[in-house]
Amino acid sequence: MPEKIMEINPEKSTLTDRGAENTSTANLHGSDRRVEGISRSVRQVTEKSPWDRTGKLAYALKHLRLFYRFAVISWKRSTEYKFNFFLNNIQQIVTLFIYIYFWRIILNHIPQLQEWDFPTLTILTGFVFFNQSLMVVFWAMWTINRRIIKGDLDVFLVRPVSVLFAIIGQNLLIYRLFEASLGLAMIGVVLIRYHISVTLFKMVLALLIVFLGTYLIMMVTIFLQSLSFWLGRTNAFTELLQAGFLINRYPITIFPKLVIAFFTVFLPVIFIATYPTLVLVEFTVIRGLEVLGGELLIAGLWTYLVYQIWRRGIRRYENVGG
Amino acid sequence: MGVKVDTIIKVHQLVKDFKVPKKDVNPSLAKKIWSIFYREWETKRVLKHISFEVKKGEFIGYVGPNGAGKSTTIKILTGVLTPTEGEVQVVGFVPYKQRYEYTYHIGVVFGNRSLLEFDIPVIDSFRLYRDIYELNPKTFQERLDLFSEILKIDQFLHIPVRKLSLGERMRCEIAASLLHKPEVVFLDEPTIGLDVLAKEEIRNFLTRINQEDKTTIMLTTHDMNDIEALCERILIIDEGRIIYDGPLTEIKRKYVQWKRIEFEYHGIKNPVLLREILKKTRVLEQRQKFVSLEVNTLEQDVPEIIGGLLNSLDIVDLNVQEPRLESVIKEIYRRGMNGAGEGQAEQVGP
Amino acid sequence: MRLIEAKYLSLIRISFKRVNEFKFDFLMRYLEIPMYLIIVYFLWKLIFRFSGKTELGGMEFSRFFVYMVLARFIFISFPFTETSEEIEEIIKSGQLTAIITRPVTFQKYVFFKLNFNTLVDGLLSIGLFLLMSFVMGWYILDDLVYWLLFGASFVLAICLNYFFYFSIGLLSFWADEIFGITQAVRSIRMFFSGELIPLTMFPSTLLTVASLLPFKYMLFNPVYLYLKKYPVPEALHQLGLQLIWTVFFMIFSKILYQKGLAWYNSYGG
Repeated sequence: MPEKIMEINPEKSTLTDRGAENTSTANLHGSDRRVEGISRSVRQVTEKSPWDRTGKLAYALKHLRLFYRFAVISWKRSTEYKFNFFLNNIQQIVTLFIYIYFWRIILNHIPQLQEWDFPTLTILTGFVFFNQSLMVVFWAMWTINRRIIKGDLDVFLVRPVSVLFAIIGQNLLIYRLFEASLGLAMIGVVLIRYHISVTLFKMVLALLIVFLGTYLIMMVTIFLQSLSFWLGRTNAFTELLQAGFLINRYPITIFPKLVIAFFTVFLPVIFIATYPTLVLVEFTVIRGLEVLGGELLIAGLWTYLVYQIWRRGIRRYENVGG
Repeated sequence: MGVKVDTIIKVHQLVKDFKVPKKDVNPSLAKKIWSIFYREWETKRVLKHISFEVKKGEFIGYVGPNGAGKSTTIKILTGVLTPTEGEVQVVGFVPYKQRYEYTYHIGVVFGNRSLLEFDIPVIDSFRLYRDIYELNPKTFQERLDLFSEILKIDQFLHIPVRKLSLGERMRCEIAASLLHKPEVVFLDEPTIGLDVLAKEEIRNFLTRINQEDKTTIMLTTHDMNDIEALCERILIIDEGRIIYDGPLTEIKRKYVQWKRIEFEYHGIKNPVLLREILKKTRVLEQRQKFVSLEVNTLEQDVPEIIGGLLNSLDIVDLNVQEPRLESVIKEIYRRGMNGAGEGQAEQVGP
Repeated sequence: MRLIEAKYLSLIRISFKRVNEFKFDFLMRYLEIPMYLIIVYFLWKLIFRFSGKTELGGMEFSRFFVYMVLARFIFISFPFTETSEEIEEIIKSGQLTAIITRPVTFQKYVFFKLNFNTLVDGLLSIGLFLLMSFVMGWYILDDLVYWLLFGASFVLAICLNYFFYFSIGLLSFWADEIFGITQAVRSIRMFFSGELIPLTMFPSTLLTVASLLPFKYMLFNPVYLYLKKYPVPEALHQLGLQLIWTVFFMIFSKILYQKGLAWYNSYGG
């Protein structure tokens, strides 16, 4: 077709195939606005991948493959620094035992802390450890505010990749998954050592709650970090969030109701260790499912909030350039 | 039956405003505290109705002093920034509206920001970019072979980036941005901090990519040698306006009014003619049998003067020098401050 | 007085300018305090109730609470891992060459540039703590002798901390990256310095171990002195031990630096 490049005029909206496809492209990379079509010159379609890259599914699949690539990179990087690799593991194990020993000392002075005895407190610590290691895998989420302020998003914005995904993926610490599994191993040891019998279903339920809980905390973190799009330095929020994690290693149910509510909805750290432990050893399956249901609701809420703030944030970044 | 339309970048009346906090030179303490909660903003216009077009396969130099609006333009062209007013179209896309799809078609190198993963071998970064741009393995391998041949990067593909020299790193950096055979490449200071040899290698590579792939390249740099070696056309921006847009040769013709002729001679053949010729020039230096002259190119014809010299003297050695581009550009910046009010590139000039 | 030469004074000035810039960050660090108070109050209230005792670790609840709060204030006021990290930065980035080719000594350079504002932070943090105690009506030390003892112990604690983390920072002459080390030490220090739980609640063998390690003197001692829990002779004895540890790490860091520099010279960093 002979086609002349037309005057660029967004009003003259003749939606081309490209424009139409693009509107359906999945989001988070921030260019989800309605695209006014622009006719363009016909040109050779160069490199076309076997995947149709415009659909939501293709977008997700591509990022899944990228995640694998990032994981490989992360793994190679960790083996570059074997010494640190080793030291980090040692440090984590030391920390784990210190926290467990903390409870040992306290239980030297009291028989048990409300319904929490030594085995359950150890399981709690195991979950805390599991979650912390998992969060470290995605530690780059703590650098989002800095990157926004420094205008570092450009490097990702000029590539066909989700910015948020790339920031976190690029700095993955995949080997920390080993430590995370250590936390689970710890829980296993306690279950066997103290002859606590749990059903497989409860185990799966508890794990689901922890994973979703970790996701929730990531969402809250990203949300607070994204405030930097408007506020510049947001260290205050980061510090507050970190402060929230202080409560993490204690059974949150021993605190007053108001505190529990706060840590269930606003800073949902209760799903990281307290509920998984209770679901595993105390609660009935029904109660466990209720917890999971509630968590899903809260996760949905936070996902929506992150989606909105990130979309608006990127739009603002496009206008002011970080 | 096609008329081949080959405009690849089109920028029309582009405006970009930034809001910047009002700076108080010496604020009182009360004001300082107040400023935590509330800040006054003012609008700063960084781009003032700039327009230009770039054709497919062009190699364009984009220069201007710091803060002139260079990087803002590049950011708009690459889809990072949304313009306040005006229109942009690159490879048929409106960058800021269709960014995700658009970025498949462009390559961007920020000289000061690395794309490559610092701690891992280069090849792994390449594989990452292969997945980002969804290249099939065959194309990927072909590109890799090509780059290995021209840039000689095959020797350090398996070495972690941090162990490479700056020049080697930049070669890899550029290769990584070109893996997906982009139609347009934006390069921001690609040779900054490199030695002469490394610069040369990168220039050769860019020239080849430009010629063989018909890749359109837009280069911003402070190194005028890069521009002289690479670009046919140059855009000069100053204070948010394009103050020159045209061929590199033209810029010299327009702005350079003097050429310098230096020669050495044995003896004089025609003293009368020589006197005539010398009247048309300005003698800068004369020692023994070496003379240095300056010729006003607006008033005089340089070949004619040279002809005259050859006829009147036994010339041993002769060369004609132009001022370096660098000093020309400096001169333009200096004049641009008061010279260019219309935002119309063509009208600028003596 | 030649103790502080003019060039170091100007370093202090730079350091103060930085403090000024980062004072916001400094205050940020204390944002966690309300959260911390809630946790500590309810947790230990409960533990006291379940124990059925009026005293734990030799302290009744009101003192115990003050112990935990002051310990936290001291803990967050010294971000000494930063000292290690900055030294690492200096060594790894090649800034070291710039320093050793100038007429300043590395130790003094780092001390005045990095440690001085930490010293100021420490004092500010004590001020903040006192203000808070006053407003909340908590126990405040009311004995001049103990104030002097506490002051001495506090300053020694800062110095000990400083030389300790300085030594760790110097390890980056040899190690690829010291982040792992500082983090490992952080956990150990948290436990054995009595930040997590007062050392007096430890079983006796563990208490002995804690007394043999330097960490006790970084945090537990000043806090315990603030609570007037050491009798004066014991307090002096403890101060002596604190001094010995401080001097030990001072000398140790000096030796480490010389060894490191020799290594740096022969291997080019």
